[in-house]
Amino acid sequence: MTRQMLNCFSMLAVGLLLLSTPGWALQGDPQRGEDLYVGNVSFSAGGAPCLACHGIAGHELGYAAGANYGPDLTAIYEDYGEEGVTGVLEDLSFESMDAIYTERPLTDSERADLVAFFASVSEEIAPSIGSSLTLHVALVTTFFMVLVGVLGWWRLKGVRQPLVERARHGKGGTA
Amino acid sequence: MNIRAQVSSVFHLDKCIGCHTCSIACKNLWTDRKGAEYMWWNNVETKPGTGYPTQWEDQEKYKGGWEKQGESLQLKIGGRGSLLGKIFHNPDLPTMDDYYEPFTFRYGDLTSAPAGDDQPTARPVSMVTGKPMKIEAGPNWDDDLSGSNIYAANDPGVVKLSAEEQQQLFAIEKMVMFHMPRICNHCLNAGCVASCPSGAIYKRGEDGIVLINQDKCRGWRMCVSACPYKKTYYGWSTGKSEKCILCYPRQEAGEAPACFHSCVGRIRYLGVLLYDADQIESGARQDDKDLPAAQREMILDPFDPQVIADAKEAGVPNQVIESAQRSPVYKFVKEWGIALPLHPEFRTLPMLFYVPPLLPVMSMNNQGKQKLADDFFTTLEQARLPMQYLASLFAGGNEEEVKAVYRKLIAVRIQRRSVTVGDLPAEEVTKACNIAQLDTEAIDAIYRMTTLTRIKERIVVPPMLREQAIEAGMDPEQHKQEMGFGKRIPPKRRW
Repeated sequence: MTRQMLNCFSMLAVGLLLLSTPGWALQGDPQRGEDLYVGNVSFSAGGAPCLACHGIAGHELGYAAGANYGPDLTAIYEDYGEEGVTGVLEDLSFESMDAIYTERPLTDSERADLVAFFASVSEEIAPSIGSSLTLHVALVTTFFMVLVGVLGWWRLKGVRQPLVERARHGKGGTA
Repeated sequence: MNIRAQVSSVFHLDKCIGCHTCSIACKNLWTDRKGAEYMWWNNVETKPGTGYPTQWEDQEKYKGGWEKQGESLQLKIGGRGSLLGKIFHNPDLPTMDDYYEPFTFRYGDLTSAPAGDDQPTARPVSMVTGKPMKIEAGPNWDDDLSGSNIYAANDPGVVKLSAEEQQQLFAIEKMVMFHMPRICNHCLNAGCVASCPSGAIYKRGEDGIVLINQDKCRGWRMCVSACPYKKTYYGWSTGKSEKCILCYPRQEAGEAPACFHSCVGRIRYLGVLLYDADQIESGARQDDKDLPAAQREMILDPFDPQVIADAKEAGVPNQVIESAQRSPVYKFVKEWGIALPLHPEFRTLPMLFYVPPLLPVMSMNNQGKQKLADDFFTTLEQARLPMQYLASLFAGGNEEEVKAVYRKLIAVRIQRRSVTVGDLPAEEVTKACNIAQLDTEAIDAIYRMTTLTRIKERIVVPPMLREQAIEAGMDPEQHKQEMGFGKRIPPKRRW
């Protein structure tokens, strides 16, 4: 899937959305939004890039590990809509974000770019953990269980007790 | 010729009364600690019986000792590659039940129980879990043939006998048994040393005592599997393996090892043997039946001037050679030839020898009439303890070895009877001597050594010459000042 095509498509979608929203909204640039998100372009006030804490699994950002301090933002636009997202970035309603961005607030255009970016990724589907990975884990676990079982089976499993058992069963409970 | 000295022992089984004093002496001195409760560096077994751990002689189960593979020897648990492969899951270990679950009793309950209608009792509790338990086994559970339908009947030596011979062993009024004390054999070709992945086990150069370096041991427990006598034990508190040390600290102070010292029946003899280390490999490769003879071949005459010269050449100190000349073990094993190694077919060349017991053999059908030389020697075949059983214990299945010993022991009896009772014709005595190939002096010497000697003659602790051993490694003055402080340095291995 080419990202460009997706971007174009989502830009179109954002444009359409913007047409139906009040006029004060700025037209954001999703590409710049992504650069800001990742940290390729710094926020003008010096705030940390979003990726430091949030991943966007659908866009393969922070997917492997690391960016998991805050929740994944793939579906944030879908869930909260433009106003919601902009509101969060403005009001800083989360304590941990508050600490970072109060002193270094985002500009209006930066917020708009991010919102545009969020809008562009909201329809991407986060790759699932993957049935193949689950399968691999299951296979390896089974292999180890079988190995341990077989090694345990080969072990010397007691000498005295079987003698006693045999005498008990063979000779009618004399032991 | 590469002459070395080895502290070796002889146990005279006719004299053992099975009192377990040796076991207790050893337990109190060395293994009376947490994690070592189940260990009996010295234990006394009843034969026929399965011993401790149960059926330890069955190497198809326990995989101890060496195997001949073509012309070379290999440990039965496997070569180095195979050992490495199972280093994390050694499959050939006895279970706790095969040793026994150590137990004690809640003696405190006897005095602290609240007043009631019943007598308070001391319940048995496991020393492992601390919980009440049912005692189902012990280190001498089959003592004096108890539970013989399970234990004695499954003695690996008995199982090999024909049904008829087994019948004969256990027939009413013909039941037969003897006691066999066991300690580490301090083998010349020790399986434990060969199997240790950490190189922690070594045979002391100056006296042949096999020891486990507690600094180097990593607790892989390969030695526990590889020792066919099951005489290395894993210490559950220390995480290290340990074994009989032949009381070397006592010996260094000139004392007999504790089990020797405390032996009530005075069955134990100790002394130095000089042997040719170059013959170890070829000796251990002989056929089963030739192993006892091969081992005798390796032991050298300490009076032979050539041997003395070679020994000095090899660095054996004068005092040790002199001690070897007084060694009762040399007399028993080599000069008189009446002591045999236990299970030589494990090919570890054990240096603890046993005088096989004559009494259970003799007391068959001689009640009421005195047997003469001829009778004895011809009836050995119908003895109460089958010769084959004894041969499987002491001679790798070679009955001739065992019979040769019995001929000598019987000759001693006949001569002594003629001396003390005087009811046997002189020609009978001569005949017995001739059959046994012993002269009168030797017979007198055997009689004296078996019955009259005092402890210093029975147990000839060699001068351990620690100062020389220390000098080889460090300044004795420094050793005197610093030993016991700081970290000990493990001995070097040459591989």
